[in-house]
Amino acid sequence: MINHDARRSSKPSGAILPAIIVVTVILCASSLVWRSLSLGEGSLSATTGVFAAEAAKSGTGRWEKIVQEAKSEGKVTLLGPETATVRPSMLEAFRKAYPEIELEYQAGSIGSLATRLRAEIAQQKTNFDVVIGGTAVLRNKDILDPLTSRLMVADATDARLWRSSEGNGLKWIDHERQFAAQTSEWVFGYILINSRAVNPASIRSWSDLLKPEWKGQIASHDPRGAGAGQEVASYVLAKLGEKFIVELFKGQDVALTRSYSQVADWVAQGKYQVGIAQVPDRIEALKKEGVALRAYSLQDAAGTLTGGFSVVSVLKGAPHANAATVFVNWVVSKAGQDALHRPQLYPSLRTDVARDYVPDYTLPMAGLNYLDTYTEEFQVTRVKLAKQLGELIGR
Amino acid sequence: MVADVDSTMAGSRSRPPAWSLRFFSSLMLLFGVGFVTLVPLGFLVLNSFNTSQLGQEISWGLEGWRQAFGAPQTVKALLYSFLLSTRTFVGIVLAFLISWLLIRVRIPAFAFIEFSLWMAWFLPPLSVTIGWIALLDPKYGLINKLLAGVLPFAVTLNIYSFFGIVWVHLTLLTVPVMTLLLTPAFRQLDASFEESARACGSGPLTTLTRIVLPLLWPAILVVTIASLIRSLEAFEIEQIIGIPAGIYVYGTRIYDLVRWDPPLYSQAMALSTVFLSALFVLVVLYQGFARRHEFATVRAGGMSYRPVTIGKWRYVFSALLILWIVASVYLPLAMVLVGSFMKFFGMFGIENPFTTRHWSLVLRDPAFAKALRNSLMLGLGVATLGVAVYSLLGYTIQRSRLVGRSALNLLVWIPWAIPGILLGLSLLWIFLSIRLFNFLYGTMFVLIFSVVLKEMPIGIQMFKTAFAQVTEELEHASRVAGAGLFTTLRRITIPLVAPMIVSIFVLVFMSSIRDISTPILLATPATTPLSVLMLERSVAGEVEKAAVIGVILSVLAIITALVMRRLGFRMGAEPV
Repeated sequence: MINHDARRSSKPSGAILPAIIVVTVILCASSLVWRSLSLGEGSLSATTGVFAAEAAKSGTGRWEKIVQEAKSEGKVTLLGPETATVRPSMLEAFRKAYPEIELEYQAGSIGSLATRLRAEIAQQKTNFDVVIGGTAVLRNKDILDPLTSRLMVADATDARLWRSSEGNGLKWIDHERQFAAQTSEWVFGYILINSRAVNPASIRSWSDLLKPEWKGQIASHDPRGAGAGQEVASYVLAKLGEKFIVELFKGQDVALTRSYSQVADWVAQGKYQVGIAQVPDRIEALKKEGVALRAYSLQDAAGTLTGGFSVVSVLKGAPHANAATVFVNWVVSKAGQDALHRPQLYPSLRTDVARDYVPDYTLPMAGLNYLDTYTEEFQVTRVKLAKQLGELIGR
Repeated sequence: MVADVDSTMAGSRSRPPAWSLRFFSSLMLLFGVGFVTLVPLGFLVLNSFNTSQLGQEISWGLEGWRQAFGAPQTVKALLYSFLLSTRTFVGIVLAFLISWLLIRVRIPAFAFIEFSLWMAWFLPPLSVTIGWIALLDPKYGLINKLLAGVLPFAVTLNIYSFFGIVWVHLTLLTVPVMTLLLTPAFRQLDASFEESARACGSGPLTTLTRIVLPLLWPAILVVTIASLIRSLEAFEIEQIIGIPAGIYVYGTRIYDLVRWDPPLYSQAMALSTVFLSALFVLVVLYQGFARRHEFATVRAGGMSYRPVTIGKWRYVFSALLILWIVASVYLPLAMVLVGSFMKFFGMFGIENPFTTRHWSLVLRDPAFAKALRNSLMLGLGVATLGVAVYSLLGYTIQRSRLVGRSALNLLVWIPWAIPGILLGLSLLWIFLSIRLFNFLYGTMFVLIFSVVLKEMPIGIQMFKTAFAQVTEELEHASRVAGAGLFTTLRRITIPLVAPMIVSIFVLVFMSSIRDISTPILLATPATTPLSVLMLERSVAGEVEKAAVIGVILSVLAIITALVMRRLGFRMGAEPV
């Protein structure tokens, strides 16, 4: 057995000088990096859709030129909804419409990627052209390009083809009415029960959920992170107050999960009797297989009017500027709306798109009041509510 | 003798003054390693004091620290993380024993058991955890249903619990990876040490504790530290089974802060300094200990591989291990496979529960083919570059006379001080900001580089222990016989450490194709690997499609592992 230590007694002094030099050089390099990291807002001015504005004025000839240029760009990159079935649906439908332009699709949210996108735009290294998502675009308008000037095809801008809670015309969720177009509107905030085990008459209002028989019987998508759980819980907090939230989530020992399917699976398997904040696609898939699930709105807080992943925006500095224009015009067309919304079971706000696949509990009912959460005003409140939720639910 | 050889070699050729060449090489190496490790760390520490969003006007303050450490959830998450990390100590005892049984005792079916442990570690945690839920959910878990039908008294096993998390970690990650890392060290242990002990009258247990254990201390310590640090960072399993049980850990908290909308980077970065402190303490302890306990176990005169005899106990241990393997590896693996063919994962109650639809949807998705290609490129790129870099640095630290080796030895630990997702963020910023590297942004190289950096500590430390186990006398003998440095490496050193090369190759290959946290912020639509695609599917609640990708990842990894093992044992000394 040989102890190497005896032979390799490295002199500590030998390490000090190079170590000092290296650390000094690295600190200098770091400071250079640091200086370049400070990407002021001014550097974000970059590219805008000037050409598109001109294009809008110059009619069909211009549009054809844009399509030609889009074809030579060859692809458009989309940051789109995470629902798996959306990707193949969009890829197939867009390929049919524009076989020469490849749609590159990455699932994700602009909310968690905004910092990266901002840095990419500042360095002119953007990968994405178009974003389809939720309200997170409202907090990141500085990295968006106006969409209005890109919507050129008459079919896309005809006010008679669009109807929302605001009335006729395309619904814009930003104050400026030019960055973020909402293309679907549906009801969220319903509860889910297994109708073989629970009588719907026993739960008519949110306060019914505070009854002792439901303690330990409720599951929800976790409201402490961004997502469906937070959407519903912040609405309930706004509507019914802090005390109710604490009594519901803590008092009733609500089971939380981060999975977008687990609430429905738990209720289907009888592990929990009531589900909160379950998106409709899993519910409908289970119902198709004969599972007796039922979703419905409660009287004292009927739910929110949400847009889900239906808000269309274009990023500044889009690397495939013409293809992005072609894509956004396509996505607000009848075919584009069907490809985007059918897999998510969302109703399109376009009046000529079929709604036969949309679950009835996501359609607004007459006589019930819904809170439109897809507005800049509510989003400001929501950020505060989200923080408050974390403090109230804690754990 | 060593001094003679040194002087003979030193005087054999005329070169520039050795000290200046050595000093210059040392400086270059230190600068290179220092740059890639300290700059991301500096980015992280500085940004923990930046109260603005990244990319906006910098505003210094302690807000991030106050909010991060002022939250009661942080203290609780820290407590849970430290409690859960105690599994490391259970794991190292089991892994040591299993490695000894597999390599030194050669119990019956050792090859099957070893391969199964490799496979366990290859399985994607997300899918397997869901598999365990289907087996151990207190309400509808298959094992619980079976127990209720068989046992006369009520016993319910609950996966949604502290011990549920420990169980999944131990069986899926902790014990398999520790065994995987310890077995090469055992392979390089000359059995003549044990034979001498036995000749002096020691029994197997005394030999194990008095001879084998002290000889392998450096490897054991490295593996323990690696596992401890990784256990603090872990969040995938905790995210799925911890949250319903009210168990919120440190890794989950950092992940949440980064994925928050808008992201709370300063808080996440402040929290991650705990890693830095933990790592610093562990590394200092390790360096101090290793310096006094480093032994060569492969010596001149050849190696003896005669198995240790423990009588009938070898059958008992073999049976126990096979039972453990079946229960902990094949059962959840079967569940993942079955789950990928189910309409709804684990839901056997519905009519016609099986379908091939998820497979057909996943395989037809163009994103899948691209992600598969990206994963293969990432895995092979990381493994090839990683083995080259780690072995070079490991050899330099262990064998060379370069000035500043101690500093280098400390620097290579730093990537572990940064949680994967924050390492990805800082590299993203560096590649975007430094004009020299700007052209690489958005390419596969950035992903390869990030994972090579992330796996650097374990890769280098394992190579160091491998080189330390090979006595320098063998290399000196080769040099005296006229062989140059490269011939000596090729003919002597590399064959002797071949099992470790194969282990590290497979380890980093697997780490890279499974890693989610490091590439998640760096991957672009063109470079997204399968692991990130699998996470997308899981986030969207499409666990069945995630299971399909999980099965494909496992098959891919197993094939690669088999090929590499075969190749490795051909090029090295297979001790059978």
